[in-house]
Amino acid sequence: MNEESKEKPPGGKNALEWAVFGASLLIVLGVAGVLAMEAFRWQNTPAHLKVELGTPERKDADWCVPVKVSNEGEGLASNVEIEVSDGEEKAGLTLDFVPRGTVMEAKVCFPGSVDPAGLKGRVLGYEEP
Amino acid sequence: MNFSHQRTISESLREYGRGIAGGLMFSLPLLYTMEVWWAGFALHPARVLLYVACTYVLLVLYNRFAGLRRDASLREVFIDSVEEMGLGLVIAAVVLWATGRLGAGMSTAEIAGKVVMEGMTVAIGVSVGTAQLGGEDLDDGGMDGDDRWSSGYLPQTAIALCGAVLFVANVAPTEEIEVIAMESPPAMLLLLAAGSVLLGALVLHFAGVHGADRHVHRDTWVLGLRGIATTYAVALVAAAACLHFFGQLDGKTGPIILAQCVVAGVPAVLGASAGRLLLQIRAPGS
Repeated sequence: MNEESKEKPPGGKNALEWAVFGASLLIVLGVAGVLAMEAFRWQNTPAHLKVELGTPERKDADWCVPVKVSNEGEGLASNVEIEVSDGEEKAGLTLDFVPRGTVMEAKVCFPGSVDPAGLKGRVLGYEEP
Repeated sequence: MNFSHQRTISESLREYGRGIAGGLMFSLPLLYTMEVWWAGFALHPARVLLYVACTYVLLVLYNRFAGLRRDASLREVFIDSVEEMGLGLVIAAVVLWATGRLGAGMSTAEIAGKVVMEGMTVAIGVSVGTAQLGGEDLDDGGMDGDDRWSSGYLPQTAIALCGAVLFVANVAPTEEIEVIAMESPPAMLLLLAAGSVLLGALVLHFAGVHGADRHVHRDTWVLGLRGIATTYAVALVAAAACLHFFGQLDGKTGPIILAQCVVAGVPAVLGASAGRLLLQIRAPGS
């Protein structure tokens, strides 16, 4: 032990350390609380996917349709294939994952014109990892 | 409350700086690994919570037996471990946000899961960085009669576990472990296991790694063998635990699980031997 350290007052954390500890405790307890609550309300139900379509937007020569895919079930869906059709043309996209309680946003594009009234989106299939 | 000597604000800031550097240094591969992000939302929340609890135990063990403060009471070790866990979570959240892994549309559970799965390894890195990256703060007094830096069997086993987890956590979430395990014939797996044991023996007894003379028991050949066997056992336990927490053992059959543990056991044994010695470079007398 050197001379400087011998002069240091014994005992106690300084204000900064107490502040960091307090903040850390709140963060750790908060995260643990969220996880505990999620674990408590967890039901072993499969993924439940919903597809919502937005208003088509012109992009250069194409019409792009905003797509929102939400998972209202508990299970995870992976490699989710979505198909959007306006009755004549079809377009599709694949999402790597749609976790529970999550809304994923994407766009599918049609060449030329698109009939907004006839637009329909559906889930073609997905994996349950 | 029995605390170590009070540090100045600038000393504390330096410690936190070392912790942040260590946290990023030891966990950077994980922060950039997709499988870890996915584990955050794919796993049952109870398992993620258990991962938090196990990491806290590891932090306490490391801080108790190889941490920075030689004069820290057990209570202070508990407090420091909470601090490190909090810093780990904040660092993980910032890096995930900065790399676009956290955003609108994600549920609270997904965000919490991602941050926790990344933050726990960062927390261990923070602890190691705080203790080992410093240059001049070896002035803590030491608890009276405290022998926590002694090279006792259980303390060394605990530090070996910390080292093994720190190493194997970087590969356990990846699909490569599963691919190697499934594609390797039993003879190759046996060779990997034997190679791992030899690697542990080499590091502990023959390579002259810094600290081996103080922390490795080799008074008799029985003690030497016990150390090598314990090192490999700890490595396998760490490998199995990390594979489990990252969901890599789910739905697998017994032989595949064993093969995965053997494959992940290679980096784990390196952590339990060389890593274990590196984690206590700043022990007394060094």
